[in-house]
Amino acid sequence: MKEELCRAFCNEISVKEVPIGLAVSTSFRRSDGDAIAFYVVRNATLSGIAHLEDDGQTIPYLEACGVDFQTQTRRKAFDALLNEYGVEYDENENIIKTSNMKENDLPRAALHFVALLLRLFDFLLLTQEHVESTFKEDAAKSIKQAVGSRAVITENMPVSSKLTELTPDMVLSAPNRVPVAIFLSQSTTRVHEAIILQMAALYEAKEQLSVVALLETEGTLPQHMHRLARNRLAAVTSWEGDKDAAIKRIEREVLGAEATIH
Amino acid sequence: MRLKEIIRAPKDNIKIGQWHSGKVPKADFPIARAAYRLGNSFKWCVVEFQALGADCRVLVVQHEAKQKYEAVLGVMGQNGTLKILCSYEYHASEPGWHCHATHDDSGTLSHGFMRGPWIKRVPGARKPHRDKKFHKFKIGNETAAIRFAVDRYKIEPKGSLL
Repeated sequence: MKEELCRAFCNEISVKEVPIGLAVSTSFRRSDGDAIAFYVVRNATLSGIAHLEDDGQTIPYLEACGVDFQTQTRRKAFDALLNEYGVEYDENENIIKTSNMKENDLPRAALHFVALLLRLFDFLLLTQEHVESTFKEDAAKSIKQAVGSRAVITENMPVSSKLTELTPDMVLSAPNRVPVAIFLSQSTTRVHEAIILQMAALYEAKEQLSVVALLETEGTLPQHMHRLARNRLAAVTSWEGDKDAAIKRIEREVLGAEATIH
Repeated sequence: MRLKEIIRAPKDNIKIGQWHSGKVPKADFPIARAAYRLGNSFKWCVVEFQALGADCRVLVVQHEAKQKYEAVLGVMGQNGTLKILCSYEYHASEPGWHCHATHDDSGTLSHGFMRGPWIKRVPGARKPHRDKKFHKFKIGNETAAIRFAVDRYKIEPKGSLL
């Protein structure tokens, strides 16, 4: 068993010579499929001394994927991780690195360093975009499938030239029906926007428009916001736990009750 | 607009920028809320072009000492941030050349994110990597780095024999 476990951990490790030292790839993977990897950088002046560092893109990549290290909570968590693993962060080079050590000590340090990198990539799980994408993608797909070619569908576009301030996730326009703007909502902000758009359509642009908020969960909104939304929007539906009914409700709003009786 | 449509389309107004090192300013390649904060050891340049009426940019990044290369293609969205469709990459730590790409319509993607769950790795991480399919060049050679990106994304004016 021990040998099999060792093989599982070691077989996929690859080491390549690069100008700076060694590029080491591990069997662990990031969410994008690339291997968790690090570099062994030999000390230019002291023989037998080296340190470990990342590729210099861990932090820029996480930031470019929506992780905001400027928020106090994330910055604290980041600093706590660096402390826990005893590594430094070079702000100028954006490199995460260990201190210099004897080459004999590198393998043990490498295990800790890989564990740190894995934990850093977990910051991605907390980004709004990653949490949001599945819900939005799945909901939009279900709505499109339900409505099919019976309505013209636009996504991430303003409702009309008079209502350009707020952009719904989808607008569905069926023949001889009032267009329906849908907000796929995971926050109170998005529901506020839905309400403002509905009020702007009714009282400023004086255009016929039904605005629907599809909430990811019932808990997306505090109770008072539920009341505000239900009293002002054409419909407030909930995705989690009752997806089919939520989509059918939207289908009825877009096509009318008669058209949805199959 | 999808990746394959952009690659196949004729390109206009092609501009190849200068090479720089370090941070990529948001004005040059607007993906995140702030600049793409690469370290000073990274070199980068931006290739701009128009395809099918859309403004597109390719960020070419390389790090010679660590043998890393990326050519990231984005199409400009309505709010002035890019929607990333593809990144051709080589890292010494990976088995070979690969890309992270989406076939989804750029209109359905979120603005300002380098990579989201909609992006897939091609080939799969444990699948064979066909290195011979691609140009061999020494990472660090600036001309070859741009040439690779130009070839991959077919950034040539209509009728060009380049």
